[in-house]
Amino acid sequence: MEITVSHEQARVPVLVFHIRGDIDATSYEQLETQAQTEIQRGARFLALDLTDVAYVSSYGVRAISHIFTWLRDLAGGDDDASLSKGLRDGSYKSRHLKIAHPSPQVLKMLTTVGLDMFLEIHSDLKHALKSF
Amino acid sequence: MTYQAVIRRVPFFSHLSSEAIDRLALGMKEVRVPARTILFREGEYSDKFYIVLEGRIAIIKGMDTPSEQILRSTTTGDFVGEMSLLDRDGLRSASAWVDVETSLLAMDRATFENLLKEEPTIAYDMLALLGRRLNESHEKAIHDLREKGKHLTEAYDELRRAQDQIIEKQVIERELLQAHKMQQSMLPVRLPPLAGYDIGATMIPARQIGGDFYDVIPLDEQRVGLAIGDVCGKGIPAAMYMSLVCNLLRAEAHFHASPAKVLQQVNHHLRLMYSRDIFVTVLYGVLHLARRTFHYARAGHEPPLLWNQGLQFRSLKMKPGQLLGLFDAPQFDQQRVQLHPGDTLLLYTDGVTEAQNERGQFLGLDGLVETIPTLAASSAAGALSAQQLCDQVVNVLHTHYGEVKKMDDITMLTLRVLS
Repeated sequence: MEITVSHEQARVPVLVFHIRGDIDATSYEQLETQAQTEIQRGARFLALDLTDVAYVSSYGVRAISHIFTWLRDLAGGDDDASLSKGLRDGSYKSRHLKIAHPSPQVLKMLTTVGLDMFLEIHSDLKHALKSF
Repeated sequence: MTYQAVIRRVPFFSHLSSEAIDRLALGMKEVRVPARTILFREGEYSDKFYIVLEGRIAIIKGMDTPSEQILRSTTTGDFVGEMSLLDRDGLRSASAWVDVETSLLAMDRATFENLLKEEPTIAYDMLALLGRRLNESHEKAIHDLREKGKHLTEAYDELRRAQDQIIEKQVIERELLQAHKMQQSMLPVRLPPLAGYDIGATMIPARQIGGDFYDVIPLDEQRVGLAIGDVCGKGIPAAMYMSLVCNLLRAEAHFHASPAKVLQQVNHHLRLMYSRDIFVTVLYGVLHLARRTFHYARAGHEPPLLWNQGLQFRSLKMKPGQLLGLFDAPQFDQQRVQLHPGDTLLLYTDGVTEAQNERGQFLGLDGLVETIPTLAASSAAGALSAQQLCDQVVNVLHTHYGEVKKMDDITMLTLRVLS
């Protein structure tokens, strides 16, 4: 797996991870480590461009969930009660982490595990950036 | 170069008068030695002293032994065999190996002793030279001994480290074996007989211990809880988390009729006990034996697969459902399935569908959906038991994997409604 990072200016500064390859048991730690490094450097808005990702395993789900958790913990704003309410009525979506352009197979994996219930999944990067 | 010029280059002959050098030159004989020849061997008797006119000689201590050591190499103007002139026993203290064709001037002890009578100061110069050589030889020997000692110490340290690693590996292997046994003990030892149903299950960890689990929990005479899960993590932490989830499920299943309520309670405990570093996907459902209904809640796990008696695949409804451990109040996909005689229900983890072969191809959901009827049809009128079906799918997966190392656990729970 390769990750290329680009800086995009939306309404907020967004860091984009252009990921190439599978996010699975052999590569998820690389994604976690790189995200952690960027978050420690100050990144607060992250978009994962999955255009070139053919497969996301449960390890990939773990990595994406971790990144969501780290960004949410750092950014604050959503208390657990309002988050729970937002998840129940479908009004909650992370303002800090967005997914762009997953393949149909990857999208199926993300929706099966319910990541779409708290992460916006956009059909392309342009829309994902616009949504920040 | 004349004999006289070469003789004068020898330190203890350098101060001699021209006449003495001439006399000496007359008393010495030129010898030609072919290449790759032993001029003399250590321990042999000899009374000859040589000055190199042309060529090369190596002075070797312990020649042809494991401790062989080249003391020095001599070229034009250098000399060898001076020790034998002073040692009356005349035994060589080292061997001389002629590397290339070499010309020498040779002097025997009688000539040398005659010279000493005329020029006694030569003895002092020779002693001074021999003293320097002995010192150099001692220093070299000490240096070599130190180097050998250093290498021995390094080798010893390396051996110790290797031994420590072996011991540590053995300890880890023992602990992993214990963990494996503990984890296997968490799974049902024997699946309970269910009147009107045939049930089978398998869990093959990718490593010695895994994060997958399944469970069959008898609730009362008519209801049985079926669970399958996959901890998003690996190694011992994932295995410990899996054990915890199993125990929580077993405990909560008896208190709540609703599968979603059971999962909510399990999630509640996980959130209290663990950080948000580890998550688990779970499908938990209640099978009502008489009504043939399967009411389940899906927490981010793969939905079950269903085939009817004619081995036709029946797609089940699916709504979003979140994994456990991430949020305080996750939402689950709740479904109720009406089963019929001859139906086959399969609960599985992603290690089954995401098995990759050497070309990176997945078995995939479509592959699994096609595999079950093929296996059943290949047996006598679909007579495979639920357990045989699980085992056969594992065989298919092994064939699919080929030489590729298995990356994820493989877990299945199969339920067949008897006609």
